[in-house]
Amino acid sequence: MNPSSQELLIDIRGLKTHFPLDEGVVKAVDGVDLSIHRNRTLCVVGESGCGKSITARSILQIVDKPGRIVEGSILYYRQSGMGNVEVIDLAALDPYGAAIRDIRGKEISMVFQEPMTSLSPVHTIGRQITEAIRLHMPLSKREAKAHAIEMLRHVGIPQPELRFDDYPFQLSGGMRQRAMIAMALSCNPSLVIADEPTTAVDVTTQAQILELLARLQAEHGMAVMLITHDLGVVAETADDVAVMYLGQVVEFGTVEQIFFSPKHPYTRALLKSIPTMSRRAQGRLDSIRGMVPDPFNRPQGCPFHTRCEEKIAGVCDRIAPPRITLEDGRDVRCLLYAQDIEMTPVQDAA
Amino acid sequence: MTSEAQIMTPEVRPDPAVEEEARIYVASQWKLTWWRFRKHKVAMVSGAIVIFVYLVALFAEFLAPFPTDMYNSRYTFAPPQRVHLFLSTEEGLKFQPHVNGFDVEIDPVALRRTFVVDPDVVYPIGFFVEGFSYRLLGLFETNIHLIGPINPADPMYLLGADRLGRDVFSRLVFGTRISMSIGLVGVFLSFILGILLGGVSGLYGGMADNLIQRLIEFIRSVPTIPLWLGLAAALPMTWSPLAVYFGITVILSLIGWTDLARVVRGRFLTLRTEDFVMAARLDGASQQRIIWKYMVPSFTSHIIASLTLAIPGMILAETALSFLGLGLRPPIVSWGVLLQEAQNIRAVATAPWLLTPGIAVVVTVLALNFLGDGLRDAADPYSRG
Amino acid sequence: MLGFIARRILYAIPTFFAVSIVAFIIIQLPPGDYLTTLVASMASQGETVDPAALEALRNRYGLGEPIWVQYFKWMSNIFLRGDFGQSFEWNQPVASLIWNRLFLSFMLSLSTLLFVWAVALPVGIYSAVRQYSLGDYAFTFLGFIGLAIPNFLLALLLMYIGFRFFGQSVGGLFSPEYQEAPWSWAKFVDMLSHLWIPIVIIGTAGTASLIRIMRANLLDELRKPYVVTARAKGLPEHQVILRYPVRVALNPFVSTIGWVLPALISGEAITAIVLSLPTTGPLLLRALMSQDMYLAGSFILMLSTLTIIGTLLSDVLLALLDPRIRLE
Ligand SMILES: Nc1ncnc2c1ncn2[C@@H]1O[C@H](COP(=O)(O)OP(=O)(O)O)[C@@H](O)[C@H]1O
Ligand SMILES: [Mg+2]
Repeated sequence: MNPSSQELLIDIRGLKTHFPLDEGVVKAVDGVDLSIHRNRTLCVVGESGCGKSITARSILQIVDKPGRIVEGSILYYRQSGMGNVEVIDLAALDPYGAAIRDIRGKEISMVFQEPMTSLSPVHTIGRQITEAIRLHMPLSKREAKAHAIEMLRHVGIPQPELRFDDYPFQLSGGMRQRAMIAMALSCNPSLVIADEPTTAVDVTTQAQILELLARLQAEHGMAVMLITHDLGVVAETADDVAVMYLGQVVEFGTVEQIFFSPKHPYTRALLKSIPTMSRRAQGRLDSIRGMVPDPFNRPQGCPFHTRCEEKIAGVCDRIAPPRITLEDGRDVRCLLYAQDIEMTPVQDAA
Repeated sequence: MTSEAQIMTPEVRPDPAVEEEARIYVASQWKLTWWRFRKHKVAMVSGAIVIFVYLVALFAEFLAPFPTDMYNSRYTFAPPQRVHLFLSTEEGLKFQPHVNGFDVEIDPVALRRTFVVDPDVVYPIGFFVEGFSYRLLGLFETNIHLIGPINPADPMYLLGADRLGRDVFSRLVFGTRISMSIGLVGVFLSFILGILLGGVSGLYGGMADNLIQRLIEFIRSVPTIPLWLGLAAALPMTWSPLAVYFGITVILSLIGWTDLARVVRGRFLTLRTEDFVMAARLDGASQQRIIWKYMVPSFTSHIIASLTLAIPGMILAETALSFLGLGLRPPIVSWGVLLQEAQNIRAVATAPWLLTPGIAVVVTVLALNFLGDGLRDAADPYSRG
Repeated sequence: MLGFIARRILYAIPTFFAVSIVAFIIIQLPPGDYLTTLVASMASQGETVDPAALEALRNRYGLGEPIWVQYFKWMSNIFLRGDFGQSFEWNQPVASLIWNRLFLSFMLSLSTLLFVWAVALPVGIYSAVRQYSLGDYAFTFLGFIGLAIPNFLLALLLMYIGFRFFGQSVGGLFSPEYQEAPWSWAKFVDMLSHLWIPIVIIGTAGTASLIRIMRANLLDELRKPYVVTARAKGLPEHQVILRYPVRVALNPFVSTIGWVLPALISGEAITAIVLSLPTTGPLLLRALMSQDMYLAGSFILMLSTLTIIGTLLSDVLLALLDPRIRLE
């Protein structure tokens, strides 16, 4: 399972998204590299505040002001009929321009964390879905409505004709998130980004929503970027995994590589924090020694060295580790492997 | 930034040290408020203006060259005089502040009097001159005034004269006292009502809260000016000016307490659930003690902001009522009473300086509003209005 | 929805009675009752009153009877016969004096409300979307000034400017030739050309506060996640703003009628006095000055009732706009 053998969809290189505030610059995303492939699910994991959401929003250029992409590229390999592939750098597009708006909601769509606040409280869900459909598809009002109802049925909402006229506050949390997913899928996108889609719903609904996403991914043949901080979810749904720490991807590989032979000390610490793989509820990522550094005062050198159990004194606190591609195709940002590459071939620990 | 964060950190937990920690909390709250307030340049300037206006009110007799009722029919509607600093004499320019006299000409067609400055008539003026005698702050008998004609009988109209030839500047200074004090007294009465009813509402909830909320809604749903007019018109003409003054203040505050009551109630409601109040309650402190010791200090800054924002409403209401002739009555002088002189458009056209009390109203209200806004932002950076 | 409206109407009824009691108290406040005033004023003109007529009047208003009987008679006369009492100053039934003026007051307040909205909405949106821009600061400052200038002072100032620099008087609602003319299209147009001055005067303070409210509401809404959702759909930015946060912020904006309307009616009264408009203000003031209490009380009653009805309508409008209220 080498990711690069698959068809590339999104290739992020050196992405930096910063928030210039009065108090200083918040480097929310500070050199992210990752790629998303067609028909695969990428899970992005990391502690709260490490820049997962901002990375996702950067792809669509919907970062809140004053946040701005300051560096890097987001290459989008768009399929333009007849098997041709056109490459667009999303990071270079004007956030208010027509080019990016044409991609938003149509080719790349998003499912947000809180369906209650992410849907407008004063518009029916039908209206919110048909709006997206009419924006991107040449359909009449009636056809758009029929399509929206079809989508609602598709995501498992009972009596979709009636629910079409409901307001978000009339639906249960699970139903709301389904409606959100219906909206995201309505234009048959090639990538759906789901930003912690299950944090706001109860455990049973959570499982249902994830199953739904997996089913839809298989049926529609799209790519999914699933942001979560639940390693159990990752194990069940991911094809590829990106582990983030303080605005960077510290390790990026297939789910097998990450779970069976984690290379980065942070990934290892994360996995150790789960007692057993099956007890998902305890698999939260906040049980690592030490505190996440203040976003205004990022540590020198490797951002993780303040908490790292394998840090090399005098090295890790000075040199910022580059992205290192190991033999098995995964990427890791750790100076432990910088030497490995020079001296000895990497051995797969599994 | 960091020092603020450190000071805010001590959280109050239910333990015997609660009282001590609550004190720290309150103290730092004040400091925080002050730091945040200082950042508001406009509010700082406004604060200075407000202080200045109150000083004028306090030292009105000292600042005003003439008593309010001194008239001179020779100078009916006399325009403001220019103050000249130097006098040209035979020996050359000499430093001698003075104003010039007028030649009065009567236009035989329009039967209007026009004032022509006569540079030959010189009325020397000066600082700390003798004038009418008064008690400074009600304590010391004196007759020194900040500015005035050296010879008290000379005319000096810095802001012109009204239809009886009274000095608008002196009247404006005295009007400041009445208008500003009505604002304060009215807000004080409103505040008593507001804190009583709002406090009951927020503290006890239930039936009392419901009733008081309905009452507030009712008062807010009726147009105030007709109501004010109706009540003010009922004050007997036979009352003394002082009684009218208090009558008007009571009427203004009877309608003006609702906003303050809302603020107080809101504060009580949020505070009722706050940690340190709960802690004190668990500690077995009595209800009274909880209120005065913990709840009141922690919202004083909000209350001060709300009070500041309530004063302009009072001033504007008094001005409007007096302007219409239903508020304060002469011989009391307030900004509204002064503006009554400007009610007639012909009077304004001949003597636009009669509108100067309007400038005082606008500047003062503006300053109080900016100040109150700054105070509120400083007291609670998360609430915007 | 219907239940909601019914409940609001039920709410309004006690408010109406409270208002009527206040108006009645104001009528009763001056010493002496209507008849003594009447007798006194007629005596001063050297006339005497027929004792039988006096007795009939005494019966009609329940004078001399307990206060609550008087209140009851006053109310039922209004409800059953449209009889608001007698104005002794005009020697006419109050009802024949107030309706025309109330209508004009109502028109003026309504036009001002529309003006206030038409200005405050776009300016508020602009100020929120371009927060801390030069324009935002300018509007904020203008707004503060607007709040600080009393209506009557603004009216005086405009009158002075009109008189001094344009040599014309800006008072009144009609040109002299239409003053007494019956209603016609030409008279209506003439009124519109006079109307804008009082509208600007009455509306300034309300506009200023509504701009600040709209700005604050919209700033709150602009931060909400559903705005990002709309953006992520691919909507153009202006549609994102107008269809979603502005639409949501409209609800609290509409509900401000509840206090904007009383303020406008207040402002209308005082502005009308300065500009001598043929609306309720001048007549109310005159009635109060001469203690023509039935006239004054009726004005206060009707102005307050107008406000109550206006607030009721704004609640219904709010329910139409906000599904959370409509469907609860
Ligand atoms: N609007 C904003 N203004 C300033 N900082 C922000 C803003 N949004 C996010 N950040 C900062 O960016 C960092 C990453 O945020 P985010 O991507 O939301 O984290 P998460 O991984 O939990 O999704 C955080 O440290 C946060 O403080
Ligand atoms: Mg997030």
